[in-house]
Amino acid sequence: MPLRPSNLPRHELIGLEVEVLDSRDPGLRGLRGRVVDETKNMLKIRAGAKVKSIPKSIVYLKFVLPGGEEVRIEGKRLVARPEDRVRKA
Amino acid sequence: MKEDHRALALERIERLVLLAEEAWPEEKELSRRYLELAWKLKLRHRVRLPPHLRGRFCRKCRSPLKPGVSCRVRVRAGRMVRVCLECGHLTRLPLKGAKGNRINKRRREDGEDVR
Repeated sequence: MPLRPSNLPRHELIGLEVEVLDSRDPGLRGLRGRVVDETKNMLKIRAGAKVKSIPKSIVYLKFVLPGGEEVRIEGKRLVARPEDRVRKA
Repeated sequence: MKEDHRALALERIERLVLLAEEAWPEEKELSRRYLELAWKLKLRHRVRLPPHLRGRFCRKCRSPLKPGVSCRVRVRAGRMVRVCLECGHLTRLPLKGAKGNRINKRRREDGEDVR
């Protein structure tokens, strides 16, 4: 079952390119990089030399799939432990 | 629906194993973290690891096992003994007459006498 825009909220996010399109924290807007780790509430993104933690619940994100497709998604839909996200709708 | 989430879990596990091997040895902690996540997926969705993923990482410390790099592989008393060079954890796998052993299965099919 390959990664498709429709199953992205249930698929593996680590390793994907991501950009913060909007955020309740203005400092996070425009941040982009590769997802290096994931917890229930946070995504850790390698942006430049730093690893930044961004809360899932306050951001609007754009993921770039390996095939070049773009997926825009509200971070709130990703709030769950990574292993529990598989079953979440 | 049930099969659906299992297939997805397996796919994610496979990706995580590959990511962990990529991150090794530059970022060992991250590599172990990915394999820990893979293990959690495995437990949560009650899937068995397919043969090509089994033995790719240490069951104790979750480091990737690359023969000659991060683990030592020896044949000792008819068993394959694998030692994780990160934590020293040791696994022994029988070589002779083991059920499901591919080499022995082929031999039996060829009519050879395998204990």
